Amino acid sequence: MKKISKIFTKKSTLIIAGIILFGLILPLFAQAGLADWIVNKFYRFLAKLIISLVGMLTDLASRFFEAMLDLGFNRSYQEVAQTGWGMSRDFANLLFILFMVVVAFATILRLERYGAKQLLPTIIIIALLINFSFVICAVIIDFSNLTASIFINNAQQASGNQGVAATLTDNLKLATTLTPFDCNDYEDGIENCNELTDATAQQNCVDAFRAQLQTCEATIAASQQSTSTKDELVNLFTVTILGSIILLIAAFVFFAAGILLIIRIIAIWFLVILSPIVFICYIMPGLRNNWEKWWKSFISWCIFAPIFAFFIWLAVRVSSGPTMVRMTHFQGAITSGNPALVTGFFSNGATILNYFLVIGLLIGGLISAKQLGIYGASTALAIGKKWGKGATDWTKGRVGRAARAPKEYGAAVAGGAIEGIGKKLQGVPLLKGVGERMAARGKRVAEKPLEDPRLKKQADEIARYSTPEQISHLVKTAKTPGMTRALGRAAIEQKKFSKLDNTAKIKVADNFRAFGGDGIRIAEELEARNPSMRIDHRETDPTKLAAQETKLDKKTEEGIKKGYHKEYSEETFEGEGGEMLTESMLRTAKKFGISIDKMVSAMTVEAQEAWKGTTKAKFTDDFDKTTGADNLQARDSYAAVTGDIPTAYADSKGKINKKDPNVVTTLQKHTAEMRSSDYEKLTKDSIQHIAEYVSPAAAINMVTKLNDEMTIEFANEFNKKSDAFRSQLRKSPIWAPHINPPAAGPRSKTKEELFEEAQEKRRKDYGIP
Amino acid sequence: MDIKNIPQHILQIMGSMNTVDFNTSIEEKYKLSEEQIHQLAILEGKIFSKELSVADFPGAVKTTLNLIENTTNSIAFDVCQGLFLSAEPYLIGVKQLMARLKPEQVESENPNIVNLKNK
Repeated sequence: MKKISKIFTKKSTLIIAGIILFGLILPLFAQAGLADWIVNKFYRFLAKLIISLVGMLTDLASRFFEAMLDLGFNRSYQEVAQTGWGMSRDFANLLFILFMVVVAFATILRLERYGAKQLLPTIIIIALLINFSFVICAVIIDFSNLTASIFINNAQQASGNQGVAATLTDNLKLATTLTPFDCNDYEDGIENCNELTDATAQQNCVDAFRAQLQTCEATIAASQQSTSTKDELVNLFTVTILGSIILLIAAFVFFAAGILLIIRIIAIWFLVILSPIVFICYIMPGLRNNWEKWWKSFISWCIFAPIFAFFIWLAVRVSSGPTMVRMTHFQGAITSGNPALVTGFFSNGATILNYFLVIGLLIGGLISAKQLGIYGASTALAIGKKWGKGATDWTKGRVGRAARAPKEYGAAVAGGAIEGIGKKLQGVPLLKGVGERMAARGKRVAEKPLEDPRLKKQADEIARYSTPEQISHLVKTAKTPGMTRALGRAAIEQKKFSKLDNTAKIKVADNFRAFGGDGIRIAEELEARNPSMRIDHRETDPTKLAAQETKLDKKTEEGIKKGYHKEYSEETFEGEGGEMLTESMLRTAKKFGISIDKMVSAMTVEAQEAWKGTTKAKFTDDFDKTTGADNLQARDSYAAVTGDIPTAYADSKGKINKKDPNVVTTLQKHTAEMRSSDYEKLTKDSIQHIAEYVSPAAAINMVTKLNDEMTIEFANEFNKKSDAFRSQLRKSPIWAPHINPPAAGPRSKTKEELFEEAQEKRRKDYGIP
Repeated sequence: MDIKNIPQHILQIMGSMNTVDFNTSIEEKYKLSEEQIHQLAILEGKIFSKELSVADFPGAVKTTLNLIENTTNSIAFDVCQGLFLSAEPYLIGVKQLMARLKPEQVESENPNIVNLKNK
């Protein structure tokens, strides 16, 4: 079943795609004779067919909604509920005996929760209420229906008693849209005039229709003269698709609202039938939650009616208001193919806004139902959302691209569409091979303009024999987008792109981005590979600088995640751009928790060398602006890339921010990785720094890598540390001889001393000499 | 202590956190003072660096830590078992010392079991 629905979805997508593609391609082949024939016959027929089908669906939905509106707030269908309620009331009365027995036992067993003292008053009240539960429910339902009816009746009066849905449809001009109209209809009218018996009336009728026919034909002729056949086709095509979508939305809303009204009636019947049983549940504390659930559900359904009715009333009032711009333009556009009308409808924000305001109010009713937890409301909205998402994805993927792309990119868009359809076809049984070939062909077509062979050859030659400065100059002065792209791509292939100046880099990226599709992907890749290209110069304003750095760090992070840092070369870290990139990489590693070790190990040897030099320059600065108050990250990255920890920490004492939570972790990680030869290189300053942050465990482990002199050097530093630290080291056979005992506290007295002290006190107290 | 002459694998034992943990367990088991456990660690270092022979270990413990005979033997046995045994090819006479120090097996004192031999 799932598979069938999948195929169905794919097929329907194909049909829509086919229509869109047809509409897009048709203007390319439009020749005078052929195109006229298509416009007059085939295409208009197709437009009428689609709109008629969708229109019929909308009509059906509006009738259904109207019928449900009549049924939904009418009390005359309550026999079913009354019959069922009678049965469940009798059953509930029987249950009373059982409940009384339970209460009796509970009283004997002294279970206070279920004892007579606790439950008897409730039992008596509920016993009465059960028999009046129908009346109670009916009062609440009537109150709900009455309130709802006030809105509905008011809405019907506002509509001149022709029906709420009919009014909405009429005001949205959906009904007239259902019967597409053209000049031939006037000819039918003339024929109908012949049925009139009175000769004068017949003549008047014929004259009136003939006049209208002439006006109609003149309008169409004028519009055809003023616009090209291509434009007519595109306009009609657009109107058909967008018109269908608008009608489908209306149909969906009407159907969903109607179904909710049916569900409401059934749910209320069901709840009323169950009411005696649920009332009796109130007696037992253990079953009381059932009553609470029932009550919540019942009240929700009752409140839903007036809220929903209010939204319907509001929709009718708004749609009938004097400011409402009718959809006549829309109807006229479809039937006459007059581009002025088409433009009139779609360029008139007020028309579209009013349409969506009315539909929005009806959807508002559905949303309020969802908020009340009404069954079916969530499903209805979910279906709507799914349809909407599907349409949006389609629009984004194909139509959206068509709308965005300038005319010169037509081939790319068409190629993209062919590729998309090809991919869809791959999922259809028996058409997989065709789909694959189509997708491949589409991709080639789409990418062709990105790789114009003539320009590519020219740009390759230029890039090969020119310096980065010369290429930058050519990019900046290139007059055609194609040449800019070709030069950019050639510079990438010659590994000279990173050396271009920022203005040239930005121009290339922007050009690719404007191309859309693959161009966007290329532009994003270029920015991630060259994060500094968007930063032209260092800001002096701290706020702007922070914003600039955040943007740069984001690009750097994207680049690292995609692994572009593996491709950095030595030149990447040169100059101002390289300096900013290094700073950004260090900040990014700190901010986003990216391990410098991993980042460095993923770099090429060439990049590692460059990184080593750049980071060393960073941490040897007196004040490192890269990471704020400390330069731990730079030291860490240098230690990670070179393994030369003594150099990384050589002058570290007092230069690392002690508050940085990474200090201990980073230092201990590197201490664990240090070799005996590394320790031998340590300066006094480094020893002090390591001793300050190293843990007892790390200190105990490090001793095996130390020679006698180093052991004593470290022991001297460790002797300045806390008692607890020293106490641990004093248990290690190697450290023990070198570590001083904890600071001497007051010595505890021996037994003899205590005895002597007691004796002295006694002698003093009793005056014994 | 001349660290240069101690083999690397012995240094690993000496500089291991496990050795420190072991000494902590001895300290707790025998209620030793801070100074006593410190002295014991120094003695262990002397044994590992062969400044002191294994056979002389119980005597050195008794004198340095100022303990009674039974406690000395128990500590010496535990240290041999937990620390010196793992360095045995390097340290000579650990097993012999352990055999000498081995505590006597005490027969069951369970009152529910009637010792028919003594009746």
